[in-house]
Amino acid sequence: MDSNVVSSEHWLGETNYSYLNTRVRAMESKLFKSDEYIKLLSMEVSQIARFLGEGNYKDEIDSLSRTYRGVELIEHSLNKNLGNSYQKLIKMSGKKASAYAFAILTRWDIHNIISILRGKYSKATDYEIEKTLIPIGEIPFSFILSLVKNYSYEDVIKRLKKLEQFNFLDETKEIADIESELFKMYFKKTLDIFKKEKKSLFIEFVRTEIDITNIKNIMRMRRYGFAPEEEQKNMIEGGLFFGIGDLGYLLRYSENDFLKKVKKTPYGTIIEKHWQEKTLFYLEESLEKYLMKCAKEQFIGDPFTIMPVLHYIISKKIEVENIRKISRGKASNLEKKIIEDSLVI
Amino acid sequence: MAELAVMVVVLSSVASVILTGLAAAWAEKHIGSAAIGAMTEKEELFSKGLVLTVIPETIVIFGLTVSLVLLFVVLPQLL
Repeated sequence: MDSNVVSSEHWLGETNYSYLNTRVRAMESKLFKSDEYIKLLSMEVSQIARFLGEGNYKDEIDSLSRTYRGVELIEHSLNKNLGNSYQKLIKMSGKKASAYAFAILTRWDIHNIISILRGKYSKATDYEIEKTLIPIGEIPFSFILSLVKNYSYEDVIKRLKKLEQFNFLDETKEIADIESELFKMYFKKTLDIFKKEKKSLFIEFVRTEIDITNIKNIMRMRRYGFAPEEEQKNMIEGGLFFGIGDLGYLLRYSENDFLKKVKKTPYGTIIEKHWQEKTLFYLEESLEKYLMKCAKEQFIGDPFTIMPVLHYIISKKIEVENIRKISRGKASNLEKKIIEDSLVI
Repeated sequence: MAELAVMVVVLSSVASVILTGLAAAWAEKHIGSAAIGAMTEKEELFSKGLVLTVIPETIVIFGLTVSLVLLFVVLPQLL
């Protein structure tokens, strides 16, 4: 993987929405349609790699095919392609539009840092950790890569603390606490940047994401129990339907009251559907799917706004996630129906 | 009174060309950048992009027609 892909220091011109949005829509028209996923579902891993190599992922597959094979090749190509696409987007966005694009892309910094910390915490090899990293974000990717090499969990946090935005981290804390602190920081920073635009669709999307993160945490705590101090740690302020005050009640409500409360929100039907299941996996996956679908449907708007760009960012992410699910599912011989159900189409 | 009418016709003639020219320029600016954006990703859209880019020119032609009608049809009747 290359060094830094996206940095806030890129020279950016004025945003020309006519140019930007038409180009982004042309880029979006090249993304996979639902029938292509169905085609991929009936292929073997090697065929999927070949299929990708004949289309939009040609450059990445060609450059990585000497080093990797099978699922590895697909994974690395997807990551690299996602990085390249977002880098292209930032470069052509211009000053005004790039503020939004950065807000979404900063999320990848958090993703990369959490992947490294989880890997270090579970003593995974450097190679395994590197596989999960995506070359996008505000932090130079060379720095992210340097964290993987020969550092322990504590050392990684100590190095991160030297950066201004991560100086609140504490290497003595557990991985779960660090993760929730990083998410809290990300959401707070994003809401602060765009606090003047309370009614914008982008802020609505971020606040929906906060709701979903909170619901996931509440469901886990309700199911597996929690210590009193955990409640504060895991709750994030700024949700669309559930304010910080509602979350404490949601945690302690009886089953009926909880369902009654969530039924008033769009998440109600999803939670009800998966309520009886032993595992929370499908519930969490359905909530993620809902978030992605929501963003995809919402971000279609005025061509003289940032919406088409946000729509592309989400659509590209969905495409990459879908292909990843198909290739991983195929490699581990999962049933076609299970893989199909997990796709966001 | 006749002088005032002549002045109004001449000014209208000038305004129709200037305003339609500016409108066409504004429209072409947006259509042109959109067309280039689309062509950067899909070269096959060149011909469609070119056709769409010149369509706002028709606005100027309308303006020019109005201006010529004012100068050569309306104005002689006032003089």
